[in-house]
Amino acid sequence: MNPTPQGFCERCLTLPGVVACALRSPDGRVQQRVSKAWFSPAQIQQAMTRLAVAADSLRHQAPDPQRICWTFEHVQIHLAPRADGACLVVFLENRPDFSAEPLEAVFGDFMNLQGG
Amino acid sequence: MSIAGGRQKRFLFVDDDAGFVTGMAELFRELSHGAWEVFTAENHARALALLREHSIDVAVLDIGMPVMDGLEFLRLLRRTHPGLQVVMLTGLATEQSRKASLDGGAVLFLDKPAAAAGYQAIFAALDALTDAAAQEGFRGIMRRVGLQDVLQMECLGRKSSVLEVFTGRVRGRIFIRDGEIVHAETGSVQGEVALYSLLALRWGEFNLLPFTPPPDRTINGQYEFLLMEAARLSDEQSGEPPPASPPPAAIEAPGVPEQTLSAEAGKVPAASPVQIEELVLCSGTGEVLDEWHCQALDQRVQFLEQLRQQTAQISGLLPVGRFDRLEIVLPRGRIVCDLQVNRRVFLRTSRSPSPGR
Repeated sequence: MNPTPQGFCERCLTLPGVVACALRSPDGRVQQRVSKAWFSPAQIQQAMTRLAVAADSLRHQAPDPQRICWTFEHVQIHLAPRADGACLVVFLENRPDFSAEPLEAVFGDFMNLQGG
Repeated sequence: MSIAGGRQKRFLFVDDDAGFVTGMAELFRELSHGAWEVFTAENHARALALLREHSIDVAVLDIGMPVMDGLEFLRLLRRTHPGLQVVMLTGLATEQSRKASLDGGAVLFLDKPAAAAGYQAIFAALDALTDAAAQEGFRGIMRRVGLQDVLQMECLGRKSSVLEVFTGRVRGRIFIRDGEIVHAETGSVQGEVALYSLLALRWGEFNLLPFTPPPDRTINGQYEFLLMEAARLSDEQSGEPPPASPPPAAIEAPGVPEQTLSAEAGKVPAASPVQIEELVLCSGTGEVLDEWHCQALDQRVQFLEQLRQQTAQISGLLPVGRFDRLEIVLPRGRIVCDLQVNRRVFLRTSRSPSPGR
C-alpha cells in the first residue's frame, strides 16, 4: 500500500472501470491520473474545483458525509471527503459490469490516513 | 370514432405516389365523417416534419419508396417515435416484406386494395387500431429507466395499473392500486419476494397495463419502504460472489439473495432497519408537489436547484452525459437526490446499525 497521493491514484486506476482519479491534499494541491483519453488533466483539474465546492455545499444538507456519488449517464464520480479538507475522487465508467465495491478498500485506507 | 378524450384521430399517410395518397386521404376523411384528421406526405422529410408538428396516432407507410424504403423508414420511426403505431401498406406484398415489417415493429401489414370496397376494410382496420390503442394502456420504449422509476411514478401519481415485466427467462407482474403496491407475482412466487426479485432484474422490458384486480393482496407495506428494501437487497448482494447454482429466477436477477428468490411464496425477508426519514417531490422546474416529514422544505428545494446547476456545470466541463442522481452516504443513513426532466426527488433514509455489518 502506498500512502502517497500518487499511490492512491495508481491503485484506483488498477480497478476495473476506473477512467480517472484525483486526490486533493489539505493544502489544495491536486494530483491526478487518467487511464483513458476520456478527460484531459486540465478538465480533471477544473472538475476537482467544482466538485470540492459542491461537496462543501452538501455539508449544509448532510453533515459528515462519508461518500458522495454523482451518477451521470456515462460516468459515476465517487468522492471520499476527509475532515482535514483532503478528498479522493474516482471517475468510474457507468456500466452495469463495473461496480464501485472494489473502491471501498482504497477509500477506507484514504480515510484512515487522516492528516497524511 | 374519436380518440378517448374527444379529439380527432390523426393519421399520417406516407407514399411517394401523390395522386394515390391524396385520393386515399380524401376517401378516408369522407368515410370517417369528420372523426379522422388525415395528413399526407410524399417523402420522409415531410413525414418527419408532420410528426414533429402533430401528435399522430398512426402512420401508414408505403414500402416501395425512393431513397429510403418503407422498411428502413419503419426502423427509423421505431427509434425516433417509439410510441407511434406504424402500419405498412403495399401494392407488392411478399411474405418476406410482411415478416420484415412485423419483425420491425409494424402493427399491421396491409395490401393496397384493387377495388373501392377494399378501402372500406382498410379504413375499418385502421379505425379499430386506434380504438385498441386508446384502451390498452401504454406502449413504448424507455431507455435507461429502472423499474423502480416506473413504480415510483405510478405510486406518486396514486395510479392504478399493472406493470408487466419480462426478460428472456423471467416474467412477472406488479399490481399497483391507488398508488399502493398490492401484489406481485413471478412464476410460482408471490408477494414481496416476487416484487424484490423483479426489481432486481438488471435488464428487460415492461408494459404498463390498465389495472385489473390481482388474485390476492399479498403486499401491504408503504411503497417507499418496499423500493428502499429492494435497493438495499440489491446493494447487499452486489458485493457478494454469485451463487454456484442459481435458481432459475435468479439467473437474470443477480442482485437478490438466493434465499429470497427461492423462498416460498409469501415468506418475506426479515424486517429492514432502513427507514425513510424525509421525502420531497418537486416538478422538473422545482415546484413542490409533495413532501413527507420535511422540516426544511425551502432548504431542500434550493438544494435540488443548486444540485441541478452544479451538475450542469460538470456535464458542460466533462463528457459524462446527463446527470441522473446524487447519493450521499452518511454515518447512519443516506440521502438520494434524483433529478429528471419532469421531477426532482430528495429522499433521506436512516439505518439502525445491524450486527455483523
